[in-house]
Amino acid sequence: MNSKSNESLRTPWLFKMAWRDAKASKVRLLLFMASIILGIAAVVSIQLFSTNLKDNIQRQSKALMGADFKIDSKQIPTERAQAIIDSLKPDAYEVNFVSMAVFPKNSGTKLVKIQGLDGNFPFYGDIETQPSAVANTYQESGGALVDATLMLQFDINPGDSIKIGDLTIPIAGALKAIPGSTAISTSVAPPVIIPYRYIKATNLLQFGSRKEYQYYYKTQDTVNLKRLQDKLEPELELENADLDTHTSTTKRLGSRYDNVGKFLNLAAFIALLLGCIGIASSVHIYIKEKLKAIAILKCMGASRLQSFLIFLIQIAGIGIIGGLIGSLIGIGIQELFPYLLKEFLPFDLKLPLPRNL
Amino acid sequence: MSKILKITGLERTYTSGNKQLTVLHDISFDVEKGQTFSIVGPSGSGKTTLLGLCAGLDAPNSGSVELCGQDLNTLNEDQRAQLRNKEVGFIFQNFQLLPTLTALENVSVPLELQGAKDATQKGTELLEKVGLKDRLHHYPSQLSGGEQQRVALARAFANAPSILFADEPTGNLDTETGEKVIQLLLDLNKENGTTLVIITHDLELANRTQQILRLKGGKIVTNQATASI
Repeated sequence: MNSKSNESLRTPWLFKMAWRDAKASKVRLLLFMASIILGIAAVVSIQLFSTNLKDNIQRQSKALMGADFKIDSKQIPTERAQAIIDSLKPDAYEVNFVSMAVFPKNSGTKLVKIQGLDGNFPFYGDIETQPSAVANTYQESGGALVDATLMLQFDINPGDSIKIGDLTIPIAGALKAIPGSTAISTSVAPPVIIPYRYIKATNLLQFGSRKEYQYYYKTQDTVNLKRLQDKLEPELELENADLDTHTSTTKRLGSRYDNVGKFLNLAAFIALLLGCIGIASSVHIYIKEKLKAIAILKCMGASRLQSFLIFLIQIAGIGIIGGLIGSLIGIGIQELFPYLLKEFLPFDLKLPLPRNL
Repeated sequence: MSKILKITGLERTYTSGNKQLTVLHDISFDVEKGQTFSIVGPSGSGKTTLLGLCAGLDAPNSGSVELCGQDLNTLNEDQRAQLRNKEVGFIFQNFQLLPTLTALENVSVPLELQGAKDATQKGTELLEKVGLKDRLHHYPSQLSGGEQQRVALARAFANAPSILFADEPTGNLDTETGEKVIQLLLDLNKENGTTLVIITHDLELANRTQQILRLKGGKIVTNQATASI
Protein backbone atom coordinates (compact mmCIF):
# COMPACT_ATOMS: atom_id res chain seq x y z
CA MET A 1 0.00 0.00 0.00
CA ASN A 2 2.78 2.36 1.04
CA SER A 3 4.97 1.62 -1.94
CA LYS A 4 1.91 2.06 -4.18
CA SER A 5 1.10 5.47 -2.71
CA ASN A 6 4.81 6.34 -2.86
CA GLU A 7 4.79 5.45 -6.51
CA SER A 8 1.71 7.52 -7.29
CA LEU A 9 3.10 10.44 -5.26
CA ARG A 10 6.61 9.95 -6.68
CA THR A 11 8.18 10.94 -3.36
CA PRO A 12 11.79 11.17 -4.61
CA TRP A 13 10.59 13.44 -7.42
CA LEU A 14 8.84 15.68 -4.86
CA PHE A 15 12.13 16.12 -2.99
CA LYS A 16 13.95 16.71 -6.27
CA MET A 17 11.46 19.41 -7.27
CA ALA A 18 11.58 20.99 -3.81
CA TRP A 19 15.38 21.14 -4.05
CA ARG A 20 15.36 22.51 -7.62
CA ASP A 21 12.93 25.24 -6.69
CA ALA A 22 14.75 26.02 -3.44
CA LYS A 23 18.05 26.44 -5.32
CA ALA A 24 16.52 29.19 -7.43
CA SER A 25 14.96 30.95 -4.40
CA LYS A 26 17.90 30.41 -2.05
CA VAL A 27 18.39 34.02 -0.92
CA ARG A 28 14.77 34.30 0.13
CA LEU A 29 14.72 30.91 1.79
CA LEU A 30 17.99 31.63 3.60
CA LEU A 31 16.40 34.78 4.96
CA PHE A 32 13.48 32.73 6.34
CA MET A 33 15.98 30.28 7.77
CA ALA A 34 18.01 33.04 9.41
CA SER A 35 14.91 34.22 11.29
CA ILE A 36 14.22 30.67 12.48
CA ILE A 37 17.86 30.19 13.49
CA LEU A 38 17.90 33.41 15.54
CA GLY A 39 14.62 32.62 17.32
CA ILE A 40 15.52 29.02 18.11
CA ALA A 41 19.05 29.95 19.20
CA ALA A 42 17.63 32.51 21.66
CA VAL A 43 15.10 30.08 23.14
CA VAL A 44 17.55 27.15 23.31
CA SER A 45 20.36 29.17 24.88
CA ILE A 46 18.13 30.75 27.52
CA GLN A 47 16.34 27.49 28.26
CA LEU A 48 19.62 25.59 28.59
CA PHE A 49 21.21 28.29 30.68
CA SER A 50 18.21 28.40 33.06
CA THR A 51 18.31 24.63 33.46
CA ASN A 52 22.04 24.67 34.11
CA LEU A 53 21.67 27.53 36.55
CA LYS A 54 19.05 25.60 38.54
CA ASP A 55 21.21 22.45 38.46
CA ASN A 56 24.23 24.41 39.68
CA ILE A 57 22.31 26.09 42.48
CA GLN A 58 21.00 22.70 43.56
CA ARG A 59 24.43 21.07 43.38
CA GLN A 60 26.26 23.87 45.14
CA SER A 61 23.60 24.59 47.75
CA LYS A 62 25.89 23.89 50.71
CA ALA A 63 28.77 25.84 49.23
CA LEU A 64 26.43 28.78 48.68
CA MET A 65 25.78 29.04 52.40
CA GLY A 66 29.09 27.57 53.49
CA ALA A 67 27.26 25.56 56.17
CA ASP A 68 24.32 23.18 56.62
CA PHE A 69 22.28 25.76 58.43
CA LYS A 70 22.67 29.02 60.29
CA ILE A 71 20.86 31.05 62.89
CA ASP A 72 21.01 34.80 62.57
CA SER A 73 19.81 37.69 64.59
CA LYS A 74 19.96 41.46 64.05
CA GLN A 75 20.65 42.01 67.74
CA ILE A 76 22.60 40.31 70.52
CA PRO A 77 20.64 37.06 70.87
CA THR A 78 18.15 37.04 73.74
CA GLU A 79 18.71 34.62 76.58
CA ARG A 80 16.25 32.10 75.13
CA ALA A 81 17.68 32.43 71.59
CA GLN A 82 21.23 32.08 72.95
CA ALA A 83 20.18 28.93 74.82
CA ILE A 84 18.87 27.40 71.59
CA ILE A 85 22.00 28.51 69.68
CA ASP A 86 24.29 27.05 72.34
CA SER A 87 22.33 23.82 72.63
CA LEU A 88 22.95 23.18 68.94
CA LYS A 89 26.71 23.84 69.43
CA PRO A 90 27.65 26.24 66.61
CA ASP A 91 30.79 25.31 64.63
CA ALA A 92 31.49 28.92 63.69
CA TYR A 93 30.00 32.33 64.22
CA GLU A 94 30.37 35.86 63.02
CA VAL A 95 29.16 39.35 63.60
CA ASN A 96 28.98 41.66 60.65
CA PHE A 97 28.30 45.36 60.29
CA VAL A 98 29.00 48.19 57.90
CA SER A 99 31.57 50.78 58.89
CA MET A 100 34.19 53.15 57.49
CA ALA A 101 37.71 51.81 57.25
CA VAL A 102 40.95 53.74 56.84
CA PHE A 103 44.12 52.67 55.11
CA PRO A 104 46.89 54.44 57.06
CA LYS A 105 49.32 53.97 54.17
CA ASN A 106 47.57 56.59 52.08
CA SER A 107 44.77 57.77 54.40
CA GLY A 108 42.21 56.28 51.99
CA THR A 109 38.77 55.71 53.47
CA LYS A 110 35.99 53.45 52.34
CA LEU A 111 32.68 52.10 53.56
CA VAL A 112 33.21 48.37 54.14
CA LYS A 113 31.36 45.41 55.54
CA ILE A 114 33.28 44.05 58.52
CA GLN A 115 32.89 40.36 59.19
CA GLY A 116 34.28 39.26 62.53
CA LEU A 117 34.61 35.51 62.11
CA ASP A 118 35.42 32.73 64.53
CA GLY A 119 35.72 29.05 63.67
CA ASN A 120 36.54 27.13 60.59
CA PHE A 121 33.95 28.78 58.35
CA PRO A 122 33.11 27.98 55.52
CA PHE A 123 32.59 24.25 56.00
CA TYR A 124 31.75 23.87 52.30
CA GLY A 125 33.38 25.82 49.52
CA ASP A 126 36.43 27.98 50.08
CA ILE A 127 37.43 31.49 50.91
CA GLU A 128 39.64 32.43 47.98
CA THR A 129 42.52 34.67 48.88
CA GLN A 130 45.77 35.97 47.49
CA PRO A 131 48.14 34.51 48.68
CA SER A 132 45.95 31.42 48.86
CA ALA A 133 47.41 30.10 52.13
CA VAL A 134 46.25 33.06 54.24
CA ALA A 135 42.63 31.85 54.09
CA ASN A 136 43.66 29.18 56.58
CA THR A 137 46.12 31.21 58.67
CA TYR A 138 44.56 34.69 59.13
CA GLN A 139 42.70 33.57 62.28
CA GLU A 140 45.90 32.53 64.07
CA SER A 141 48.12 35.24 62.62
CA GLY A 142 45.55 37.91 63.51
CA GLY A 143 45.38 39.60 60.13
CA ALA A 144 42.55 40.98 58.02
CA LEU A 145 41.36 39.72 54.65
CA VAL A 146 40.44 42.73 52.52
CA ASP A 147 38.41 42.67 49.30
CA ALA A 148 40.82 42.31 46.37
CA THR A 149 39.20 45.06 44.27
CA LEU A 150 39.32 47.43 47.21
CA MET A 151 43.05 46.72 47.69
CA LEU A 152 43.67 47.40 44.03
CA GLN A 153 41.64 50.59 44.20
CA PHE A 154 43.64 51.96 47.15
CA ASP A 155 46.97 50.47 46.07
CA ILE A 156 47.18 48.37 49.22
CA ASN A 157 49.32 45.25 49.53
CA PRO A 158 49.43 42.38 52.03
CA GLY A 159 51.46 43.59 55.00
CA ASP A 160 49.95 47.09 54.95
CA SER A 161 47.46 47.84 57.70
CA ILE A 162 43.78 48.72 57.94
CA LYS A 163 42.15 50.78 60.68
CA ILE A 164 38.63 49.83 61.74
CA GLY A 165 37.32 51.97 64.56
CA ASP A 166 40.04 51.94 67.24
CA LEU A 167 41.63 48.79 65.85
CA THR A 168 44.57 48.80 63.47
CA ILE A 169 45.60 45.39 62.16
CA PRO A 170 47.82 44.14 59.38
CA ILE A 171 46.32 42.97 56.13
CA ALA A 172 47.03 39.24 55.69
CA GLY A 173 45.85 38.96 52.12
CA ALA A 174 43.40 39.92 49.40
CA LEU A 175 39.92 38.43 49.56
CA LYS A 176 38.88 37.22 46.12
CA ALA A 177 35.70 35.29 46.85
CA ILE A 178 33.62 34.03 49.73
CA PRO A 179 30.75 31.54 49.41
CA GLY A 180 27.41 33.07 48.52
CA SER A 181 28.51 36.57 47.52
CA THR A 182 28.77 38.21 44.11
CA ALA A 183 31.02 40.98 42.87
CA ILE A 184 27.91 43.12 42.36
CA SER A 185 26.54 42.51 45.87
CA THR A 186 29.89 43.48 47.45
CA SER A 187 30.50 46.56 45.31
CA VAL A 188 28.74 48.99 47.70
CA ALA A 189 30.41 47.76 50.88
CA PRO A 190 33.33 45.46 50.04
CA PRO A 191 33.94 42.75 52.67
CA VAL A 192 36.76 42.84 55.20
CA ILE A 193 37.15 39.70 57.33
CA ILE A 194 38.87 39.90 60.68
CA PRO A 195 39.10 37.40 63.54
CA TYR A 196 36.10 37.71 65.86
CA ARG A 197 38.33 38.30 68.89
CA TYR A 198 39.29 41.74 67.56
CA ILE A 199 35.73 43.03 67.23
CA LYS A 200 35.60 44.35 70.79
CA ALA A 201 38.80 46.31 70.21
CA THR A 202 37.19 48.25 67.35
CA ASN A 203 34.77 49.84 69.83
CA LEU A 204 32.26 50.10 66.99
CA LEU A 205 29.59 47.80 68.33
CA GLN A 206 27.57 49.80 70.77
CA PHE A 207 23.96 50.09 71.78
CA GLY A 208 21.88 50.78 68.66
CA SER A 209 24.57 49.71 66.15
CA ARG A 210 23.31 48.01 63.00
CA LYS A 211 24.81 44.56 63.11
CA GLU A 212 24.03 40.94 62.45
CA TYR A 213 25.04 37.87 64.39
CA GLN A 214 25.30 34.63 62.50
CA TYR A 215 25.91 31.14 63.92
CA TYR A 216 26.96 28.45 61.48
CA TYR A 217 26.36 24.74 61.90
CA LYS A 218 27.70 21.66 60.22
CA THR A 219 25.58 18.52 60.65
CA GLN A 220 25.58 14.89 59.65
CA ASP A 221 23.84 14.12 56.38
CA THR A 222 21.27 12.11 58.33
CA VAL A 223 19.91 15.17 60.16
CA ASN A 224 16.49 16.19 58.88
CA LEU A 225 17.00 19.91 58.39
CA LYS A 226 13.41 20.52 57.36
CA ARG A 227 12.12 19.09 60.63
CA LEU A 228 14.71 21.05 62.58
CA GLN A 229 13.67 24.24 60.84
CA ASP A 230 9.95 23.56 61.34
CA LYS A 231 10.52 22.93 65.03
CA LEU A 232 12.90 25.77 65.89
CA GLU A 233 11.89 28.54 63.54
CA PRO A 234 8.66 29.57 65.35
CA GLU A 235 10.52 29.72 68.65
CA LEU A 236 13.44 31.68 67.19
CA GLU A 237 11.12 34.09 65.46
CA LEU A 238 9.61 34.99 68.81
CA GLU A 239 13.15 35.91 69.91
CA ASN A 240 13.82 38.01 66.74
CA ALA A 241 16.13 35.36 65.34
CA ASP A 242 15.91 33.27 62.22
CA LEU A 243 17.01 29.81 61.13
CA ASP A 244 17.96 29.20 57.49
CA THR A 245 19.01 25.85 56.04
CA HIS A 246 21.13 25.53 52.94
CA THR A 247 18.14 24.11 51.06
CA SER A 248 15.79 26.95 51.96
CA THR A 249 18.43 29.51 51.04
CA THR A 250 19.14 27.93 47.67
CA LYS A 251 15.41 27.54 47.07
CA ARG A 252 15.04 31.29 47.59
CA LEU A 253 18.03 31.99 45.38
CA GLY A 254 16.82 29.43 42.85
CA SER A 255 13.39 30.98 42.61
CA ARG A 256 14.98 34.42 42.16
CA TYR A 257 17.07 33.17 39.22
CA ASP A 258 14.13 31.07 38.08
CA ASN A 259 12.07 34.25 37.78
CA VAL A 260 14.84 35.88 35.73
CA GLY A 261 15.00 32.70 33.63
CA LYS A 262 11.22 32.72 33.14
CA PHE A 263 11.31 36.35 32.07
CA LEU A 264 14.14 35.73 29.60
CA ASN A 265 12.33 32.64 28.32
CA LEU A 266 9.19 34.65 27.82
CA ALA A 267 11.14 37.37 25.99
CA ALA A 268 12.80 34.76 23.77
CA PHE A 269 9.49 33.02 23.16
CA ILE A 270 7.81 36.29 22.20
CA ALA A 271 10.73 37.02 19.85
CA LEU A 272 10.31 33.55 18.33
CA LEU A 273 6.53 33.98 18.10
CA LEU A 274 6.84 37.36 16.39
CA GLY A 275 9.51 35.89 14.13
CA CYS A 276 7.17 33.01 13.29
CA ILE A 277 4.32 35.39 12.46
CA GLY A 278 6.73 37.28 10.19
CA ILE A 279 7.92 34.03 8.61
CA ALA A 280 4.33 32.78 8.21
CA SER A 281 3.29 35.93 6.36
CA SER A 282 6.46 35.78 4.21
CA VAL A 283 5.76 32.11 3.45
CA HIS A 284 2.17 33.04 2.59
CA ILE A 285 3.42 35.61 0.06
CA TYR A 286 6.04 33.11 -1.17
CA ILE A 287 3.38 30.42 -1.77
CA LYS A 288 1.06 32.98 -3.41
CA GLU A 289 3.84 33.73 -5.86
CA LYS A 290 4.12 30.00 -6.51
CA LEU A 291 0.46 29.65 -7.53
CA LYS A 292 1.38 30.11 -11.19
CA ALA A 293 4.03 27.38 -10.91
CA ILE A 294 1.44 25.13 -9.21
CA ALA A 295 -0.99 25.78 -12.12
CA ILE A 296 1.72 24.86 -14.65
CA LEU A 297 2.53 21.69 -12.70
CA LYS A 298 -1.16 20.77 -12.72
CA CYS A 299 -1.29 21.30 -16.50
CA MET A 300 1.57 18.85 -16.80
CA GLY A 301 -0.26 16.31 -14.69
CA ALA A 302 0.88 16.88 -11.09
CA SER A 303 -1.87 16.19 -8.54
CA ARG A 304 -2.99 18.73 -5.96
CA LEU A 305 -1.24 16.78 -3.23
CA GLN A 306 2.02 16.61 -5.19
CA SER A 307 1.98 20.37 -5.84
CA PHE A 308 1.26 21.03 -2.17
CA LEU A 309 3.93 18.60 -0.95
CA ILE A 310 6.70 20.16 -3.06
CA PHE A 311 6.39 23.43 -1.18
CA LEU A 312 5.60 21.79 2.16
CA ILE A 313 8.88 19.84 1.87
CA GLN A 314 10.69 23.09 1.16
CA ILE A 315 9.22 24.94 4.14
CA ALA A 316 9.55 21.94 6.46
CA GLY A 317 13.16 21.50 5.33
CA ILE A 318 13.91 25.11 6.15
CA GLY A 319 12.23 24.70 9.53
CA ILE A 320 14.15 21.54 10.40
CA ILE A 321 17.54 22.76 9.19
CA GLY A 322 16.94 26.19 10.78
CA GLY A 323 15.89 24.50 14.03
CA LEU A 324 18.97 22.29 14.09
CA ILE A 325 21.39 25.12 13.32
CA GLY A 326 19.55 27.35 15.82
CA SER A 327 19.83 24.66 18.51
CA LEU A 328 23.55 24.22 17.88
CA ILE A 329 24.13 27.98 17.99
CA GLY A 330 21.97 28.16 21.14
CA ILE A 331 24.16 25.51 22.81
CA GLY A 332 27.22 27.51 21.75
CA ILE A 333 25.83 30.82 23.02
CA GLN A 334 24.96 29.44 26.47
CA GLU A 335 28.65 28.61 26.89
CA LEU A 336 29.25 32.38 26.82
CA PHE A 337 26.74 33.18 29.57
CA PRO A 338 28.99 32.15 32.48
CA TYR A 339 31.62 34.66 31.27
CA LEU A 340 29.08 37.40 30.67
CA LEU A 341 27.26 36.89 33.98
CA LYS A 342 30.23 35.93 36.14
CA GLU A 343 29.95 39.08 38.25
CA PHE A 344 26.25 38.51 38.95
CA LEU A 345 26.44 34.89 40.09
CA PRO A 346 27.40 33.85 43.63
CA PHE A 347 28.89 30.53 42.46
CA ASP A 348 30.98 29.01 39.69
CA LEU A 349 28.73 27.98 36.86
CA LYS A 350 29.65 24.67 35.30
CA LEU A 351 27.88 23.79 32.07
CA PRO A 352 27.41 20.13 31.35
CA LEU A 353 24.50 19.51 28.95
CA PRO A 354 21.44 18.85 31.08
CA ARG A 355 20.31 15.25 31.02
CA ASN A 356 16.82 16.19 29.92
CA LEU A 357 18.02 17.92 26.73
CA MET B 1 -10.96 7.87 -38.06
CA SER B 2 -11.64 7.72 -34.32
CA LYS B 3 -12.48 10.80 -32.34
CA ILE B 4 -9.93 11.95 -29.80
CA LEU B 5 -11.99 14.90 -28.54
CA LYS B 6 -15.77 14.97 -28.47
CA ILE B 7 -17.51 18.08 -27.16
CA THR B 8 -21.27 17.95 -26.64
CA GLY B 9 -23.57 20.83 -25.60
CA LEU B 10 -20.89 22.60 -23.63
CA GLU B 11 -21.90 25.64 -21.61
CA ARG B 12 -19.81 27.74 -19.25
CA THR B 13 -21.17 30.54 -17.11
CA TYR B 14 -19.28 32.74 -14.67
CA THR B 15 -20.98 34.48 -11.77
CA SER B 16 -19.81 37.93 -10.75
CA GLY B 17 -21.83 39.35 -7.88
CA ASN B 18 -25.47 39.05 -8.96
CA LYS B 19 -24.59 38.97 -12.65
CA GLN B 20 -24.19 35.81 -14.66
CA LEU B 21 -21.99 35.85 -17.72
CA THR B 22 -22.32 32.98 -20.16
CA VAL B 23 -19.03 32.66 -21.99
CA LEU B 24 -19.82 29.54 -24.02
CA HIS B 25 -23.27 28.56 -25.38
CA ASP B 26 -24.10 25.05 -26.50
CA ILE B 27 -20.75 24.16 -28.08
CA SER B 28 -20.49 20.81 -29.83
CA PHE B 29 -17.75 19.55 -32.13
CA ASP B 30 -15.39 16.61 -32.63
CA VAL B 31 -11.67 16.37 -33.33
CA GLU B 32 -10.34 13.35 -35.17
CA LYS B 33 -7.21 11.55 -34.02
CA GLY B 34 -4.07 12.93 -35.72
CA GLN B 35 -6.00 15.93 -37.10
CA THR B 36 -4.74 19.52 -37.02
CA PHE B 37 -7.58 21.67 -35.73
CA SER B 38 -7.73 25.40 -35.15
CA ILE B 39 -10.13 27.49 -33.12
CA VAL B 40 -10.31 31.11 -34.27
CA GLY B 41 -12.32 34.08 -33.16
CA PRO B 42 -12.02 37.63 -31.85
CA SER B 43 -10.85 38.42 -28.31
CA GLY B 44 -13.48 37.54 -25.73
CA SER B 45 -15.13 34.94 -27.94
CA GLY B 46 -14.38 32.19 -25.40
CA LYS B 47 -11.46 30.43 -27.17
CA THR B 48 -9.20 30.07 -24.11
CA THR B 49 -12.16 29.08 -21.89
CA LEU B 50 -12.99 26.36 -24.42
CA LEU B 51 -9.39 25.12 -24.40
CA GLY B 52 -9.42 24.96 -20.58
CA LEU B 53 -12.60 22.87 -20.69
CA CYS B 54 -11.28 20.59 -23.46
CA ALA B 55 -8.16 19.85 -21.40
CA GLY B 56 -10.05 19.34 -18.15
CA LEU B 57 -8.47 22.38 -16.51
CA ASP B 58 -11.95 23.78 -15.87
CA ALA B 59 -15.38 22.14 -15.49
CA PRO B 60 -18.43 23.08 -17.61
CA ASN B 61 -21.81 24.09 -16.19
CA SER B 62 -23.44 21.69 -18.59
CA GLY B 63 -22.47 19.46 -21.47
CA SER B 64 -19.70 16.91 -21.70
CA VAL B 65 -16.11 16.60 -22.84
CA GLU B 66 -14.80 13.24 -23.94
CA LEU B 67 -11.00 13.28 -24.18
CA CYS B 68 -9.12 10.21 -25.38
CA GLY B 69 -12.23 8.14 -24.76
CA GLN B 70 -12.71 9.38 -21.17
CA ASP B 71 -15.68 11.48 -20.08
CA LEU B 72 -14.05 14.26 -18.04
CA ASN B 73 -17.25 14.78 -16.02
CA THR B 74 -16.71 11.35 -14.43
CA LEU B 75 -13.12 12.07 -13.40
CA ASN B 76 -11.98 13.99 -10.33
CA GLU B 77 -9.30 16.70 -10.45
CA ASP B 78 -6.39 14.34 -9.80
CA GLN B 79 -7.64 11.78 -12.34
CA ARG B 80 -7.92 14.57 -14.91
CA ALA B 81 -4.35 15.62 -14.05
CA GLN B 82 -3.21 12.03 -14.56
CA LEU B 83 -4.95 11.91 -17.94
CA ARG B 84 -3.26 15.18 -18.95
CA ASN B 85 0.11 13.75 -17.92
CA LYS B 86 -0.39 10.70 -20.15
CA GLU B 87 -2.26 12.10 -23.13
CA VAL B 88 -2.08 15.91 -23.28
CA GLY B 89 0.56 18.50 -24.14
CA PHE B 90 0.22 22.28 -23.74
CA ILE B 91 1.77 25.31 -25.37
CA PHE B 92 0.82 28.76 -24.10
CA GLN B 93 1.13 32.24 -25.55
CA ASN B 94 3.37 33.36 -22.70
CA PHE B 95 5.32 30.07 -22.62
CA GLN B 96 4.49 29.24 -18.95
CA LEU B 97 7.84 27.68 -18.15
CA LEU B 98 8.68 27.10 -14.51
CA PRO B 99 11.00 30.05 -13.82
CA THR B 100 12.98 28.26 -11.10
CA LEU B 101 13.85 25.29 -13.33
CA THR B 102 16.41 25.14 -16.14
CA ALA B 103 15.35 24.39 -19.73
CA LEU B 104 16.27 20.73 -19.32
CA GLU B 105 14.47 20.45 -15.96
CA ASN B 106 11.35 22.07 -17.47
CA VAL B 107 11.31 19.52 -20.28
CA SER B 108 12.02 16.62 -17.91
CA VAL B 109 9.12 17.35 -15.52
CA PRO B 110 6.31 15.61 -17.53
CA LEU B 111 8.59 12.60 -18.00
CA GLU B 112 9.53 12.52 -14.32
CA LEU B 113 5.85 12.68 -13.41
CA GLN B 114 5.36 9.55 -15.50
CA GLY B 115 8.22 7.93 -13.62
CA ALA B 116 10.51 7.73 -16.69
CA LYS B 117 14.02 6.72 -15.62
CA ASP B 118 15.71 8.33 -18.64
CA ALA B 119 13.92 11.68 -18.29
CA THR B 120 17.14 13.70 -18.49
CA GLN B 121 18.36 11.88 -21.58
CA LYS B 122 14.99 12.21 -23.34
CA GLY B 123 14.77 15.87 -22.31
CA THR B 124 18.23 16.51 -23.75
CA GLU B 125 17.24 14.84 -27.03
CA LEU B 126 14.05 16.90 -27.29
CA LEU B 127 15.93 20.13 -26.66
CA GLU B 128 18.49 19.13 -29.27
CA LYS B 129 15.60 18.57 -31.68
CA VAL B 130 14.32 22.12 -31.16
CA GLY B 131 17.86 23.49 -31.55
CA LEU B 132 18.59 24.29 -27.92
CA LYS B 133 21.45 21.87 -27.31
CA ASP B 134 23.62 24.60 -25.80
CA ARG B 135 20.85 26.05 -23.63
CA LEU B 136 20.14 22.98 -21.51
CA HIS B 137 21.10 24.53 -18.19
CA HIS B 138 19.81 28.03 -18.84
CA TYR B 139 16.92 29.38 -16.78
CA PRO B 140 13.89 30.80 -18.67
CA SER B 141 14.98 34.34 -17.73
CA GLN B 142 18.25 33.69 -19.56
CA LEU B 143 16.46 32.72 -22.80
CA SER B 144 14.85 34.81 -25.56
CA GLY B 145 11.10 34.58 -26.24
CA GLY B 146 11.64 32.27 -29.23
CA GLU B 147 13.95 30.04 -27.23
CA GLN B 148 11.46 29.88 -24.35
CA GLN B 149 8.67 28.86 -26.76
CA ARG B 150 10.92 26.16 -28.21
CA VAL B 151 11.56 24.85 -24.67
CA ALA B 152 7.77 24.87 -24.17
CA LEU B 153 7.42 22.96 -27.43
CA ALA B 154 9.96 20.34 -26.34
CA ARG B 155 8.15 20.06 -23.00
CA ALA B 156 4.77 19.67 -24.72
CA PHE B 157 6.06 16.73 -26.77
CA ALA B 158 8.07 15.21 -23.92
CA ASN B 159 5.31 12.84 -22.77
CA ALA B 160 4.50 11.85 -26.40
CA PRO B 161 0.96 13.22 -26.05
CA SER B 162 -1.99 12.01 -28.09
CA ILE B 163 -3.31 15.56 -28.32
CA LEU B 164 -1.58 18.92 -28.02
CA PHE B 165 -3.37 22.16 -27.16
CA ALA B 166 -1.61 25.33 -28.28
CA ASP B 167 -3.05 28.64 -27.08
CA GLU B 168 -1.78 31.46 -29.35
CA PRO B 169 1.64 29.80 -29.68
CA THR B 170 3.08 32.68 -31.73
CA GLY B 171 1.26 35.51 -29.96
CA ASN B 172 4.36 36.78 -28.15
CA LEU B 173 6.86 36.15 -30.95
CA ASP B 174 7.98 38.17 -33.95
CA THR B 175 6.88 36.91 -37.38
CA GLU B 176 10.13 35.16 -38.23
CA THR B 177 10.48 33.38 -34.88
CA GLY B 178 6.76 32.62 -34.89
CA GLU B 179 7.06 30.95 -38.28
CA LYS B 180 9.99 28.82 -37.07
CA VAL B 181 8.02 27.72 -34.02
CA ILE B 182 4.93 26.85 -36.10
CA GLN B 183 7.02 24.87 -38.56
CA LEU B 184 8.58 23.00 -35.65
CA LEU B 185 5.12 22.37 -34.17
CA LEU B 186 3.77 20.99 -37.45
CA ASP B 187 6.88 18.90 -38.05
CA LEU B 188 6.67 17.37 -34.59
CA ASN B 189 2.96 16.77 -35.14
CA LYS B 190 3.68 14.91 -38.38
CA GLU B 191 6.55 12.98 -36.87
CA ASN B 192 4.61 11.82 -33.81
CA GLY B 193 1.08 11.75 -35.21
CA THR B 194 -0.10 14.00 -32.42
CA THR B 195 -3.49 15.66 -32.76
CA LEU B 196 -3.02 19.41 -32.79
CA VAL B 197 -5.60 21.89 -31.48
CA ILE B 198 -4.44 25.47 -32.03
CA ILE B 199 -6.15 28.58 -30.75
CA THR B 200 -5.15 31.57 -32.81
CA HIS B 201 -6.04 34.98 -34.17
CA ASP B 202 -3.79 34.31 -37.13
CA LEU B 203 -5.96 33.14 -40.05
CA GLU B 204 -2.88 32.28 -42.07
CA LEU B 205 -1.84 29.83 -39.36
CA ALA B 206 -5.40 28.52 -39.08
CA ASN B 207 -5.45 27.85 -42.83
CA ARG B 208 -2.49 25.51 -42.41
CA THR B 209 -4.60 23.22 -40.22
CA GLN B 210 -7.15 20.71 -41.54
CA GLN B 211 -10.21 22.05 -39.72
CA ILE B 212 -11.20 25.53 -38.51
CA LEU B 213 -13.78 26.24 -35.83
CA ARG B 214 -14.93 29.89 -35.69
CA LEU B 215 -16.24 31.26 -32.43
CA LYS B 216 -18.02 34.54 -31.81
CA GLY B 217 -19.65 35.66 -28.60
CA GLY B 218 -19.28 32.19 -27.14
CA LYS B 219 -21.13 30.49 -30.01
CA ILE B 220 -19.88 28.43 -32.94
CA VAL B 221 -20.17 30.40 -36.18
CA THR B 222 -18.70 27.77 -38.52
CA ASN B 223 -16.84 24.48 -38.23
CA GLN B 224 -15.37 23.65 -41.62
CA ALA B 225 -12.57 21.64 -43.16
CA THR B 226 -9.87 23.96 -44.59
CA ALA B 227 -10.06 22.26 -47.96
CA SER B 228 -13.71 23.24 -48.30
CA ILE B 229 -13.10 26.93 -47.49
